[in-house]
Amino acid sequence: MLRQVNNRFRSLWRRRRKDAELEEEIRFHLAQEAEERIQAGVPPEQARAEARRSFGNVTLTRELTREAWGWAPAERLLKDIGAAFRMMRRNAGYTCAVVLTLALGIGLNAPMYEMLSRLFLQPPPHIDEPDRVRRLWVSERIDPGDRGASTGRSWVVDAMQWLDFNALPADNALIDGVAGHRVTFRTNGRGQRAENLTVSWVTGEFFDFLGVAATVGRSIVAGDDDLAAQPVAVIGDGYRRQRFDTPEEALGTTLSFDDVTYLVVGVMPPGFSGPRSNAVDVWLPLKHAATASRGNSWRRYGTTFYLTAFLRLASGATEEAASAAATAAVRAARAGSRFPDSLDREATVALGPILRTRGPVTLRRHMRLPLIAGGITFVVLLIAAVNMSNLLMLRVAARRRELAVRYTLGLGRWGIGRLLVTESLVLAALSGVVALAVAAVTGDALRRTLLPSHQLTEDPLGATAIGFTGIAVLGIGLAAAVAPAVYAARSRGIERLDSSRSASALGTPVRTGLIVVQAALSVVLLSGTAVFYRSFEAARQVDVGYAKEHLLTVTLGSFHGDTRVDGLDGAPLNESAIQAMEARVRDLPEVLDVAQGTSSPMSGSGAAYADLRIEGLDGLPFRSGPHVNFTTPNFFDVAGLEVREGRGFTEWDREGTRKVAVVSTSFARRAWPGRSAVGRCLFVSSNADCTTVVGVVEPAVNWTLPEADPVYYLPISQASADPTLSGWTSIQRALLVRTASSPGRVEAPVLAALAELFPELPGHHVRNLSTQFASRIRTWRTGTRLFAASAALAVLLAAIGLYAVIAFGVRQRELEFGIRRALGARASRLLRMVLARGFSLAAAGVAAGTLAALWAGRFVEPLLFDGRSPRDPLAFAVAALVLLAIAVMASFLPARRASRADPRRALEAE
Amino acid sequence: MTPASPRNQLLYGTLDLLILRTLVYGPAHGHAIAGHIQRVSEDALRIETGSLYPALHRLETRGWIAAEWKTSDKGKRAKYYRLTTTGRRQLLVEQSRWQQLSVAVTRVLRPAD
Repeated sequence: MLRQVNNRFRSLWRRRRKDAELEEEIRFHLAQEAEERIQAGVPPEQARAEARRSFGNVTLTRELTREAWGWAPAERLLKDIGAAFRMMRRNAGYTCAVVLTLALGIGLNAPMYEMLSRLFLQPPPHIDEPDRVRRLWVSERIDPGDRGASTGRSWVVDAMQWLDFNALPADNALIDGVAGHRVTFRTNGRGQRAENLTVSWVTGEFFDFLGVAATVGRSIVAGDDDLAAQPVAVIGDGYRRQRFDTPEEALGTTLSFDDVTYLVVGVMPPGFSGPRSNAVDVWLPLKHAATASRGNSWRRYGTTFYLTAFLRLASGATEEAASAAATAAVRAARAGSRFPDSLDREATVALGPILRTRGPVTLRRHMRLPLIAGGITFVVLLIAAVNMSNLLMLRVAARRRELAVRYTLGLGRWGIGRLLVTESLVLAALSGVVALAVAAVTGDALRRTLLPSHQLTEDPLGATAIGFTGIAVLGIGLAAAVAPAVYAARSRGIERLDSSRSASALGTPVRTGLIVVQAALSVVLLSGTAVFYRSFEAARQVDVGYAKEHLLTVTLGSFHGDTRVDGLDGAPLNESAIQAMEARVRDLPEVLDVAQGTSSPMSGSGAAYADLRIEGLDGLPFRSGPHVNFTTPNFFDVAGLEVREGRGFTEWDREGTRKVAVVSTSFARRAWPGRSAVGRCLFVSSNADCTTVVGVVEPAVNWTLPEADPVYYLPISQASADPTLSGWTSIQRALLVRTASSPGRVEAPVLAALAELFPELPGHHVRNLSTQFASRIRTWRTGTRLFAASAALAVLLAAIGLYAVIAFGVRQRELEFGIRRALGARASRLLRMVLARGFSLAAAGVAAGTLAALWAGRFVEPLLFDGRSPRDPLAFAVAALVLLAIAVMASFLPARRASRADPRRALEAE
Repeated sequence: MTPASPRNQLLYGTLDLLILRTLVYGPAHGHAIAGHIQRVSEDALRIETGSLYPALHRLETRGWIAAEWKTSDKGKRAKYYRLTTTGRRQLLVEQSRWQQLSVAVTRVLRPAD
């Protein structure tokens, strides 16, 4: 290797010397020639000039002699690259246009591809033989107890109840090991400085199963997953970097989750995130963590706690056999459990690849967005490539003379092809370098926009992104040169030096074809933007029920999905502290009113089932829900929920008075279709008395947009007095704060009050509702922005391309325009002629693009809000108009030039 | 590779032969070689520099002639070419090929008996 490099250098060095020698040889020849003439009596000055003349073309001789030396491939390449760079320097504007457009195209695609491959293609890093690891998916009927309308529907999830997991055969001829984890968000520490971390609760075999060792310290081992053992924790490298300079510093420190203190015993290698692509901060032994969070009931019943299970296929074992074995084990465990009738004993276990995104279940919306985005950026890359080919083509046409000279000098068709390919590759490589800079800037932003809750552990500009850039540069460099090279080789004009004037038609079909393709792709992206924008607008204007502006929520009872809800054995809230908190907040100058509820709007949590029966119905007529919310009388007022029928709660609805309820319209419509809800009975919990419905309020969106789940409301004062319901109200509470202006100004004093009265609660429990709403419609907003950015880029590219083609055509036909002028054509007529050309090219693009967009609509359809159609005529019309307008603008400058063609010059030239 | 000007086209390969033949008389620089050929052919053959130097360098690359920098009789440094052993052998090959060719051409041109 080293010797090869050495040889290369030596041959380069030799070449230099040879060049110098050739120079001297030619100089000697000239001197000799002049000498002879001087001796014959010619004056020296004249003699030298004659000598030079008789020698002929010195440069040509030099060039040809060099050819005779024969080129080593590497030297030939260097020479071609040199020529490419000279060409680029001479055409700086052209070079900039090509390099920038391509760099943007590649620079967006490289991190995008990297992200997609992490999400969908590559197994997570550091796992031993990831191909043998399988993710377990359980398929079962949702409601085996045959209650309600949902009977018979089944679901497939990659979560397994503890009962089933424990039954899996850990080690036999088919299965080489089993491990499970559950990823949750937990708060480390207490008070406002507490931090929210991504925590993975793992079974004892987890790290051994994956075949991963800690970089420092040790990982969690089987002995740690025992309530008698000391609680230990292992942290991820990313989290370690946030807190400690070196991994060693982390060892021996402690973390605290759910009142249990864990000793950090190890730090995992960089990039390790377990069997998923999303980063994990901390790993804890499952038994400690789950018990601390839920008490002991989760293990006793085994049906309330779910975790994601993995197994490792034994060598030679088939997937079918292993999944059959797992299915059999799960069914047996369910049959032998304490409640065999409430479990689906026909459940099956399927095996999927380690990455969840490739599992047997179709992707969720937020995971689909990156895929669509990948498609969009790829289209932009295609446009950039087409543009580059187009511009190269124009350069070829403009350089016909130069190429013709080179051709007659014996460069040959292959030589010209080689030259063009080299130029194209050099341009592409230059773009690649710029693209890496673009990728470094955009990569991170791209990830944060598309997958804000997803922390990929690898750098955005990783090996994959760089590899992608390399392949893209090579591929595009070669592909973009094909059309120009074919054109150069075919065009007879190349061989005729005198053909430059009559060349207006050269390469026209290919060139215009490329422009139409570009315009079509732009139309696809433009119409995508318009479609997405309309969907985003629809999502933005959705009525969430709550008057979401100027509304602040303060969560006082902690009821995250994993905490204390299941067993109802959480610590009761301090009722006097809640009242004190409400009073403090109410006294703040900007605050208009404060209400209480057990569930805060759009929190998505606290949405709990209570054992509900509806008068006159056997089951519950709801697809999901109903959710219950225990509220104070002013809740509907503060939240901005309109009472549509009957009344809301009043101060009179309290302990001892008639039990009352308010339901949402969505509840009422399903429970009593076509009839009034007021006066009906609900039987809440095991309570035998009738709870009378006294009012109906507008639906409030809680978790899923756009549909509002059915909700029923009960007065908090009545529920607290009822022993079957007080379990709920005692542990869940949220304050709803209606402010006079922007809630931002109230946040600080509210936080201060929270720190004083609830010192253990983290600060993120204070939320601004409109911000929360904005995050909820993020998918559509991101889609719109992404499409808009790509479309802007694509339109810019199309405009450059169109401008180049039209301008070139005009320059070629300048004489013709001059003659037309001389013959009396009006300037306005010439202007129209050129504009019409640009317009017709764009129109062809619009037609093709619209067809393509109609076809591609199916891919974005599932992403649009509330089933909006991707074939929105208005969106398509807008896209077409924009492109046509751009086309006319792009052709305007060349058109003006044509209309001002000078008739005199045309006549002189002829 | 070498474009031949229409005025005095040399048959492809003949320039090599002429150069090799010229060098039989001893080492010479490019200018002298061209001058010699022109003189001996009585101005019938003019060697263009655009053909001469590429040919010289090609022959040198093939190892038929070797070059050396020497001081000319006028005291200037010049590149002198000389025939190598393989070059001498090649000259014989080229000469016999030329003779065969010229005999053949003469036969064709001879009026029919």
